[in-house]
Amino acid sequence: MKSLYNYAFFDEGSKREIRRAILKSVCIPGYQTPFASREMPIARGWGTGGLQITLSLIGRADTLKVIDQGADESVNAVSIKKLVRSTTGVTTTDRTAEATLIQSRHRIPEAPLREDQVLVLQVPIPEPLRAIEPSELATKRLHAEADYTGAWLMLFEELQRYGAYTTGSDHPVLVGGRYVMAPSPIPRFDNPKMDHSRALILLGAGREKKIYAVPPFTRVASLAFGDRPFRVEGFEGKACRLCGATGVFLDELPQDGGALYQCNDTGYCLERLNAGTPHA
Amino acid sequence: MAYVAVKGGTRAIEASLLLWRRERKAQAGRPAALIDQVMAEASLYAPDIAELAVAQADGSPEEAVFLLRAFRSTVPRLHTTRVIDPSDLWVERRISAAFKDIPGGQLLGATSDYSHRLIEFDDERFNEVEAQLAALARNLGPQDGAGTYPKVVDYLRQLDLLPTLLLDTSAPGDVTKKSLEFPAKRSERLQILARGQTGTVTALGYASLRGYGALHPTVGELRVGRLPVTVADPLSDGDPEDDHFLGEIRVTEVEMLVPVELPRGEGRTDLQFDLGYGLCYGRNETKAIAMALLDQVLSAAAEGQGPGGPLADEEFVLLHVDSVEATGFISHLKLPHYVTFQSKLESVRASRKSP
Amino acid sequence: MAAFDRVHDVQLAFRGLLRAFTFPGTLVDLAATAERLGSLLPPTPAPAGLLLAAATLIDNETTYWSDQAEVTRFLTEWSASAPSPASASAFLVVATFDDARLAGVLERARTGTLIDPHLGATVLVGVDELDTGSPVTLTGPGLEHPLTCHLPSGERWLAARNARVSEFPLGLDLAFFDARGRVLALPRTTQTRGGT
Repeated sequence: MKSLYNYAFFDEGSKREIRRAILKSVCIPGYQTPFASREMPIARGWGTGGLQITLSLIGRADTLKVIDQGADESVNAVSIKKLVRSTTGVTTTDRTAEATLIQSRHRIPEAPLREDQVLVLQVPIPEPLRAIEPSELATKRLHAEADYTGAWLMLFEELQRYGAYTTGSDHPVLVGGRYVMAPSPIPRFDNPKMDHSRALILLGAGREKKIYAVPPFTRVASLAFGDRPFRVEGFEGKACRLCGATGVFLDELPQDGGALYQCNDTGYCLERLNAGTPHA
Repeated sequence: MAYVAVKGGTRAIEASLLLWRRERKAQAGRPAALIDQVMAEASLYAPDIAELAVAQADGSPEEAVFLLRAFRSTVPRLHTTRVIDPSDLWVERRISAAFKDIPGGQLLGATSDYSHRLIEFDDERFNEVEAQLAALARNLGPQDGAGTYPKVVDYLRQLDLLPTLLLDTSAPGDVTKKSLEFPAKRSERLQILARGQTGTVTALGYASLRGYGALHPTVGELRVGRLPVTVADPLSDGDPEDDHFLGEIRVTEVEMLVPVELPRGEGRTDLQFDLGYGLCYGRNETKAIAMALLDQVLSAAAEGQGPGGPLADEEFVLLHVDSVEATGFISHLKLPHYVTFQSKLESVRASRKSP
Repeated sequence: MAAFDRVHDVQLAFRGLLRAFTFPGTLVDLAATAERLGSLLPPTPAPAGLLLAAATLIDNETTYWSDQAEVTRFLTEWSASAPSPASASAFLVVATFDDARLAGVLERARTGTLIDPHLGATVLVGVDELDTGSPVTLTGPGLEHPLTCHLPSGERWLAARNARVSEFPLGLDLAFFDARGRVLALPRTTQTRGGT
């Protein structure tokens, strides 16, 4: 059955079309390049945008890491790795440093990335203005005119109503001073990692048929008002119960009589444990 | 089976039901209607592979469509067929709700339309079918009725009740090769509706009928039959004689007549008919009718006409009828959302703490 | 020598191109892959790397133009599709560098629209050698620090290019390919200082 499929699943024409969109995305940072978006063996909304990018990039020399909400062993990460491995035979890894390609859903790894790595993020809703404008034609026009008053108004209303930014994940960013972009639902904690990232970041939205990019060394600023600075999720006074890490994004584990915390990035946590630095 | 709607109707219906039973028997449990639906929603005419997909999906249409679409992504697209003229349709069934006696006559074919929906707990009655059909065949040849027919809409054009339009020979868009941009071309709208999820297209078509679109539409003609598919020889100079015949596709085609007002100036209006078009792979009459209704509403809206409302918003209709997209995104809610939820939790706490 | 592999060599070429556009001004080596094109190449002075890039990106679902008949013939066969006018093409393949002619091509090329800036052309240009031209300092996305590199000499093409990328996001994206199988890219975001 396997031999019926081409290397990296797609026929070559499908890959070429995705590759052309990737190149244009790199040349226009933060702009959502439309692409045909072929159907995949995994469901729309389960990472097909990221997966299409990964499959059109990947070659024999690559080592792939896939994480889902921080975890290498999450059901969907395992499923995506299995599909890529079975159609390409590439090596997969949990170690961020070993990977040439990293596909991720909703996290940027804690370990710093390098110029020779590419981070591929899965995007459910690529349009940062969708919450305020349901029409695709209208949002394309707003981007064309760099009219982002709606995005600012949304943040202003959050401050008015709740006294704080309540965007949660997917807090909008301004890329290269031109395009307002949805960073995908990464926590606000990860937004600063996009700014002048050393690795190319490619974002793929399969269902919405858009690819966009943050090239390395590109200014990425989280939208915020001057007197109400952008704030990442705080885990003050908390540390990972396993490896003792602080200053990382922590998962909250509800317990009787209070919560426990541990690293959300399981690969990072495991490497610290193996290096013998628990409870630092 | 050619019949006039007043006289001989009972016999025609009886014969149609017999044919329908015989087709079911010949299918021997093969879910033919489901296979047709899956091929249409997958945009891939491949009955054998669709049957495999349906079996692998335990009969779930959304799963089977998903399988077939993923397979479609791996198939190189090497040629574009010659333009297929639906008036070449080899008709197995054609009906008109507009005229009793249409040129060429009505042809019921095999249909369950007039059957009573009673579960048949035994299939004994199958055995009677052959005997009854044999008796019928003594009067009618087995191929009697099938063939090509003049179109009802051409008759209306002759009567000047439908506008005669210039043939649009521009190449159609292909939404599977390029993501849809708005405003969409009509070819793109039709393509999206043709591959739309049957239930969704039906629901939106129903909404248009109930009060959000074309009121009082009429089935001008509904046809089921087979169309030949050919490609030009890449080395020939374009002579149709050199074309390669690839096979036939079975389709359902619907032309809906919708009365519309035509401003005549000085506050007066004329009434005219507008046409809605539906066509999908296989036999799926409800979907083809619903598609034709939506085509008319969207085409009118594109020209700034019609009643407005949600169905006139092409982004609303076209972006939400796809099976793979809708089922995929809804099912992704089952995936872990630990990080996004944690982030939201933190925002909720922050908003409570803020003065 | 191994034959050209239409799956794996095209993948390698694409990654090289992606690297070049990601890090503007950086020389990326495509020589080993370009060499394998070997017997598939038409008799043309255009560098093999240029044709490799064109074959990697062009097929019958996009549009292309070339200034050279042999290159056009190669691409027509490769993509099974006819060329388009320069002003309507997504890819412009310029076989050999000439300052004035390249300036003319750049002046005609598409730069997209504010709604669809990705419709700006990709211009692929063959040159003799990539590290002998005039020194130009580059800044912009993909560049950690200002980078001084050598671009083909000539005042007209660079002026034409800079004029056509001056209204970001409108613009065109350029890549140069030399006879030693190397590529250097200038996406529309890259700003230049100096040069002749």
